[in-house]
Amino acid sequence: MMIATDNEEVKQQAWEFMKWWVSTESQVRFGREIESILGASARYATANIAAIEQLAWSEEQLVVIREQMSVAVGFREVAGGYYTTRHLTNAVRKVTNEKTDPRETLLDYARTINEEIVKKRSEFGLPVPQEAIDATRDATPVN
Amino acid sequence: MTTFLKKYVNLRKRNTLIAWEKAKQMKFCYAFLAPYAVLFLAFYILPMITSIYYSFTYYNILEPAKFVGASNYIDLILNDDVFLKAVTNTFTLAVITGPIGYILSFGFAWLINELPRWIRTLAVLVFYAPSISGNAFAIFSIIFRGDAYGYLNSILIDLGIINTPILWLNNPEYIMPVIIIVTLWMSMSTGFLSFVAGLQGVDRAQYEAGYVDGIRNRWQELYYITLPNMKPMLLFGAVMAITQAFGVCDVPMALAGYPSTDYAARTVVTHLFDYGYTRFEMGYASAIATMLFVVMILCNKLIQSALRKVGT
Repeated sequence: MMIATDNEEVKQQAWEFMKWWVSTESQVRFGREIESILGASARYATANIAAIEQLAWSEEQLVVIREQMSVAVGFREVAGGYYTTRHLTNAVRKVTNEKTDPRETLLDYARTINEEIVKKRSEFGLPVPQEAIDATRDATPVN
Repeated sequence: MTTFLKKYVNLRKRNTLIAWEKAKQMKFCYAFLAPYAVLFLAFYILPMITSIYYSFTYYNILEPAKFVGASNYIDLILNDDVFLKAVTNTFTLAVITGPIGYILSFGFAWLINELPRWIRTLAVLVFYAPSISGNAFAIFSIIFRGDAYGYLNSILIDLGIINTPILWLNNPEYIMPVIIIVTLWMSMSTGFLSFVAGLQGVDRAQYEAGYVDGIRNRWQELYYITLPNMKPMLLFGAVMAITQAFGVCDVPMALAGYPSTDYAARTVVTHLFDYGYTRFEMGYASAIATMLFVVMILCNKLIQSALRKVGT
């Protein structure tokens, strides 16, 4: 809603909704209720650090979770980013199975990933730098 | 030409009027049909028409659909290498598991036809179990597991045939044979049951008459008596086999992963999933679906016309 609409009031309301949903109180309430209905296997792994302390995770689990959270790095999603994991895995498997040169394989697959990112960014009207277009196979901007 | 057209239109108009009058007399029959008709319309016909409509647009769910004409189809046929691979894979699977699975079903049904009833029931259960057991083919992902603990790898290493484990489901060379084996294992389903039932219903007197008339061995008996009697069952089994073979997606997805390595196990339906659910290009996905629909109808017509000539 925040992205797809130009109506300022709708955007503001959507933002307020997101703030409410990720607040500690809502996350704790949701986690407790869903665990009470579905049992311990549905224990909610919330991303809210203050909320996860209040859910039913045991202390030894919390020690591990806290340490993982402190070293976790989130990277942002790009348009066409689904190709990255896919082709990185393909590259790794190709090197394992057919013993090709790792650097060359990675370069080939990086080109495929870049082409898809360029295509998706043009599709959504996001700015595409000229070097990225030149690096693709046909070097003409997609419409 | 125009007189012919006029006569044709008048004939159809008259037939429609007669049919309408008949329908008004039989209102209750249509009332009984109504619940099923409503559900069928809502869940089969309407999605199909919507899909055909969306295949001519560019639609990414967040924005309203934008009409682009046939460019989805042109891109699909001329521009998409992965779709070519998907079609090759689907055709390979369909050709191998369709006819071979069909012949296997009929062969096994024919072989177990002679057994006493309780052994036959047991055999039917053994053959039919793979297809009713839901996702039991997931056991093959353990048999074909890529490290040294997978059953096949450990047996082969113990026997000394290979030195290091083979990545069956991650190596583009081995993925398709594995999937063909698993799909053949699962191919005996409703068609097989209908064959077993149909073979029981063949009239014994015809066999005796045939032997009196000069049939010399079991093969002739099969071709001249058994198969013509089983024609409805053969048609039904063929339709089921074709539909399943073109729509295959859950076995490759569960075994080879989604997406599979280098698109080696890509079938038309997994290609559709990729474009529809991962990339949100719904127009393109609808174009794939419509094309699959048309191809399936054509294949069905072909198979049915071929099967009409069996036994004659």
